[in-house]
This record gives sequence, structure tokens and C-alpha cells, in this order.
Amino acid sequence: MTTKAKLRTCLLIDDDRTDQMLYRRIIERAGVFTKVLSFAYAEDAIAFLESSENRDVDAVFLDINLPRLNGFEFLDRVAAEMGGVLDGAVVVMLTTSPNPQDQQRAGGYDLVQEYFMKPLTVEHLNRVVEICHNRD
Amino acid sequence: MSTADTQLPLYPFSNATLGMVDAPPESAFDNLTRLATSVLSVPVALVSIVEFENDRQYFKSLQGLPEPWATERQTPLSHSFCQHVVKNNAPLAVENAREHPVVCNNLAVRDINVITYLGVPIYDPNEVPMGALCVIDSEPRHWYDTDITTLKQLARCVSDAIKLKAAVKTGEAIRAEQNAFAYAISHDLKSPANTLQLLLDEFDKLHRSKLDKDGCDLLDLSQETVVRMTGQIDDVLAFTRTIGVNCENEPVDLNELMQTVRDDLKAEIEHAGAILTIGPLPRVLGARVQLRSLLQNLISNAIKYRRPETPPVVNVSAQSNKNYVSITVADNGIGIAPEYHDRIFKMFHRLHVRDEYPGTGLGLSLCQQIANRHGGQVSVESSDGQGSTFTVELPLRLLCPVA
Repeated sequence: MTTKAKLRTCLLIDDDRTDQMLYRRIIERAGVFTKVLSFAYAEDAIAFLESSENRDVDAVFLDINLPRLNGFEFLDRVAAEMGGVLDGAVVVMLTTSPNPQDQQRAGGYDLVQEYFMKPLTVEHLNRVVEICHNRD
Repeated sequence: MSTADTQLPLYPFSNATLGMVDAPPESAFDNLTRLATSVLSVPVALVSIVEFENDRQYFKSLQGLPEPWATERQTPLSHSFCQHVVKNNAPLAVENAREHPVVCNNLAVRDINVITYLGVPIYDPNEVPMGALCVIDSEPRHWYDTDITTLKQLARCVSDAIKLKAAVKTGEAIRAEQNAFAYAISHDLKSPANTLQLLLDEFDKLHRSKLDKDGCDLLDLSQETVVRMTGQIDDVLAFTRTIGVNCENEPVDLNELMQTVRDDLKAEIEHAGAILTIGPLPRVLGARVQLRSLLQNLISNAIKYRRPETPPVVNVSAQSNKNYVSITVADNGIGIAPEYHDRIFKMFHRLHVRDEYPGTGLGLSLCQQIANRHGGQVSVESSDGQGSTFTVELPLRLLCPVA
């Protein structure tokens, strides 16, 4: 894996400021993404995807329980309004919800590759990196 | 109720806890016995609960029974025809008791003048016979098959009414259990949260000086997080305590209650420079603790979700019509976009990250549950940036809120 090229942008969509900071530290320590962007609201992530010109997102860590638009609504909006903007990215749910209904619902999205329970671990991160590289 | 409904997992209840013996009459059963007397043209109809272990039959409903039986509402089994209906799980049709092999020596013939009798089984929620619906006359008479069919249909209504009572009681019991569970679990989480807070404080006192800036930041965040955790647990505890409280309805003067709420929120009001105007409010029948929590949450929200640089102005007023009293709490705050009006009442749903407006997402859900338990509801009118008006509608003839 070390021989592989570094992955590009990773999006963190989570409303907890402290969690975001900790995830960023874990991801940056692993040094697998060139850029880590954090969003507290799913709307802000959508605005970023709409405005960003170079679509270089390789991974999205998505919480479910968010203020206003929740994680699923984010996925619906992306699918309905933004075409294949995330088709090249690995989207994983990262949540505290142990609700089997949430997990089942996540499984219904083609975009969603994994369903991780918080907190984010190095193993989770390695799994995402592996999926990313297998796609190349 | 169809047979499909019998799949309901109902709790087992005794006749007493189900309110079928030693309990006041209920219209559900009294209407059926009344109907039985008129459809079958007989003077007496009974819903009789047979308790072999207590050597008695208890009349949950009775029509046309003479004294002293009408007042006592029960007889020993020596006077019971219905016991044979239960024992055999089958109808008993007696055209002339004096000549009937099973009941000719029954004391009801002598003491209550039971000459003609038709009884069919009624069933508990598990379909075990528990008594009989019966009709009685003091003159001999012939019973037709159609009479038995009619009485069976009425008896099915009695059994269904009993099943419905069990379903309601089961729902109440489950709700109480869940509430007790939520309370117990929050209570148990309090203790490790407190321990963690002490550990971090101890670490802070003795070791902060050895930490670099990053270490200090992490320690600060840890301490903030554990304080937040304790606060969230307290919120859940308060929620379960308010909702689970076994409340008696009492007359509540909302003007007095608002004074209490104003005192409760004194610090918030002063800090925000809020102007709170309170119009004349009615007296209502309700659970004081719950109504206080409802108003406190609405007003606290009106102050919290204010526009920056704009002191909150909160108006509380009331209107009544003949069915409902409406209490409105109107503010000049940030407002709520219409697409979020539904979800703000859902448990743990929030529209803001904690850094903007702190909270657990329990407040409005609590308000809605309190209003529901008073037979009313909370609704909102608002648009983004235009202030919000929350309206609590309570029925004027309040039933006791369900604990």
C-alpha cells in the first residue's frame, strides 16, 4: 500500500466539533489523504460539491444524525441533484446509530461502501484506503 | 376484533387488575347488558365473572337484578347458573329451572326467582372462559336457536371489550417500564460520568503544568466533553422524571405558573436582556409539574434562539373557544424554515450544531408529549428569520394525563 499514490480529498461530515478534530488528527497522522475538509452541516458539504471545480473527492465520512439535513437526506440530494459527483468516491457512514434500520437503509445506497460505528479507528481508515486503491 | 388481533402479546392480568371484579360499572358492558334485555325481551341481564377460587360470581354489569343483589353485585356459587357455562365452556339454556337436572337445586331458583336462564361464555384475552353473559326471567320460556346466536354475538362484544382493556393496560405497563428503564440507565450513567470528571480534574491539578499546548487543549476538550455528557444525562433524567411522574389533575392557574417559570428563567432573561410580556392566562385542569416544564421549555427556546444583536421579545397570551384553550408563545427570534417544522418535535432532532445553539434536542419533544398527555398538541408557525409562534392547544375538559 505504501507504494500507492496518496489519495486526494477526504470529506468529514459530522456536527461534533471535537469528533471532527479527532478524526482529522487520525487521518492526518496516517498521512493517506492530501486534504481533509470538515463540514458540520450536510448543506455546507453540498454547497462545496456544487462550487468545487476540481472534483477530487476520494472519500466521504458521513454521520447520520445531523442537524437539518441528515446523512441519508444528504445522499438523496446528491443523487437527485448532483448526478455522479461522488461516483468516484468511497462513501462510508460513520455513526453512533446501532439501529439496524439505519444500517439497512445505508445498504440500500449504491454509493455507500461501509457502515462504521463511531469512533473512527485506524482499522476503519485502512479499510477505506484499501477500497479506494482497489477501485483504481 | 378479528382473530388476527389475538396475536397481540398482552400482559397477563388478574380479574382484579383488569378491573373486571370489585370495580365500578363501565358503560361498555352496561350498554351490552341493556341491549341484551331489550333484544331478548327479558328483565335481567348480567355480565358475570366466575371465580371458583373465591366461591363467587361477580357482576361486572347488571340490569334488572333485585336487591340486595343489585347492591352487593355478587353471589356465592351456590346461587350461580353461570358457573356451569364456564365449566363446560358452552351455552346453558334453561327453560324451566325447577325441572332442569343441573340447576333444579340451585339456590338462585329459591332466592332470586331464576326460572328461565340463557347464558353463553365470555372469554379472557387468552380465550379462556372467565364468566358468562346471561339473561334471566322469572317465567318459564322457550329459547330459540336465534336467541342463543344473538346472545353469543353480544358475548363476543363483551370479550372484545375485555381484550381492549387488557391491550390498554398492556400499553400503559410497557410505557411505565420503558420510562423506568430510561430513568435507571441515565441514573447509572451518571456515576461513571462523575468519576471521569473527578479523574480529569485530578489530572488537571497535578499534571497540567507538564503538558504542552496540544496536551492542554486535549485536556480542555476532555473536560468540556464530560461536562456536556453529565448535562445530557441530566436532561434525559429530567425528561423521564417529568413524563413519568404519576400526576393527578389539579386546577392550575397559568398566571401563577408563569410567575414561577419567569423566576426559573431569571438568569437567562437577564443575560439576554429579554422582554417578556404575559397576557391574562386561564386556569386549566392539568398536571402542574408537566405544564410548568412545557411553558419553561417554550419560553427558554424563545430566548435561546434569538437573533444576534436583537434582544428577544417574547409574548405569551391565551385564547379560548368552547372546546379548547390556546396558549401562544411568540418571539422575534431566528425563526424556523417550514421544511423543518415537523422534525423539531422529534426526539434528539436539532437544527443547529452545538457550538451555535447548545441543546440536546429533547425540549420540544418533551413539550409535545406533555401536550399529548393532556389531550392536546403543540404546533408552530414560523418562517426563516421571521420569529416563531408556538401554540399549545389544550382541551378545556381535560382528562387526567396518562402517567
